[in-house]
Amino acid sequence: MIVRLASFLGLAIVLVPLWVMPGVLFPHPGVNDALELSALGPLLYLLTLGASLLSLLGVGLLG
Amino acid sequence: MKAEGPVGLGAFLLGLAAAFVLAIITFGNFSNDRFAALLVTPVLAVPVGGALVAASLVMRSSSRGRPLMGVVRGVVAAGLVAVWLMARGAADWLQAPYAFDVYLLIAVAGATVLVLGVDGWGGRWASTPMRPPS
Repeated sequence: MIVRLASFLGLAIVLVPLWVMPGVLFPHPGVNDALELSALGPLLYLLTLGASLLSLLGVGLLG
Repeated sequence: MKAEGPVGLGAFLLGLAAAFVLAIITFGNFSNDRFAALLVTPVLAVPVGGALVAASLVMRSSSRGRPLMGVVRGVVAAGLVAVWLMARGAADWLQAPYAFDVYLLIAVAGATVLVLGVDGWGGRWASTPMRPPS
């Protein structure tokens, strides 16, 4: 129970800065500001998908 | 390690595809190239999510854990991403940080769903009551 509570608290601690991050970093965003981020997002997504597939390998080896 | 984590992750990715389709319908615009990621994301999520769910369910029953619990976690996480996407709207896709926060959220939510499905976190150990010392 404590582990679950701590994990949900930890998640909330991560989500709040994530929500306010765009407004803090780019208070008045222009159309072409920080264009490199438009490529970094999908790249991070591809890494997430790759790690997801690797989790199956983990279950196969450790399960 | 149980398949509860990967099956939850698979359900999360399938739900994520639905959330992005909802976003395309709500504020997407195919005349602007910057919305292309909105279309590509579900196209990649469906095969990977489907493969994760299918492969997890064909594993032997002792390795599965509680797949339904994993699916519930995945759907809840996808719902969170859907609400986030709708709240941010088109502005987040067209201006800095170009939905980078959405992709960070996807990584965090996916890792959480996976970790909660692993024994010792949301899995067997967390749900097993402790015995008093004899």
